Amino acid sequence: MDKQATDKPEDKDILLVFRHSPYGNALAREGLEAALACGAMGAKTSVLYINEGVWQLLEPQDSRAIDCKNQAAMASALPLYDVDAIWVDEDSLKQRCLTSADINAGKIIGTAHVQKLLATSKSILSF
Amino acid sequence: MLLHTVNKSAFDNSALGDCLAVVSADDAVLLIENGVYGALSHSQSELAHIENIKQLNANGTRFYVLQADCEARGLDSTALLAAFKTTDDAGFVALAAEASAIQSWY
Repeated sequence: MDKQATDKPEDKDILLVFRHSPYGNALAREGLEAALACGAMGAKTSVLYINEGVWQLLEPQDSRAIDCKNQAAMASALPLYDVDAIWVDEDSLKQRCLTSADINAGKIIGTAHVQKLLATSKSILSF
Repeated sequence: MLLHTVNKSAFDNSALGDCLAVVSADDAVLLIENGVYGALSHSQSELAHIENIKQLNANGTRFYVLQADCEARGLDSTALLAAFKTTDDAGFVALAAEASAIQSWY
């Protein structure tokens, strides 16, 4: 981690890694809340959907019957909070036989790009 | 008849495979919560156990998914393997009542 980083949020370079499916536990919801908070504070925020996290991008989600907040609706607020860097791991999609047509947001990237993203982020929050 | 419930995704947990390895022809398997991802027909990953499910179903094992959990996750019923019937909470209770015991895989 870069010890020279200041305490000003706009100087921070934060990557949030979403590795879990949207319901079943609170990780995905808490990750999104953290991402929105980072964006609202003016931090340079990126989001990476990988492994089971790619399920979060499926639409349409209707979670009323399980009494949960709609994750897809929450995720659609990311650009409004200036979180525009949304990345999706290609291998994770392939393993689940999902394609770009199945997901509602994000740019699909390969392993090399994922590695670079992880390597260049000053802070990583994992959900 | 046993009711087997599976609540973990087949893509990051061995629960579904472990269940299918011991399930009998007169049992019922109900996928709930994140377990419903295991019912997708288009996934070719060996983690998804598609051939195994088809074989067991042909031999008599009944397979169900909880409708509300599919809807929440954006899984359309047309995307599910033909072996799976959708059910609701009342159907879950009926299966539980029919079963001599319930084995939860999680």
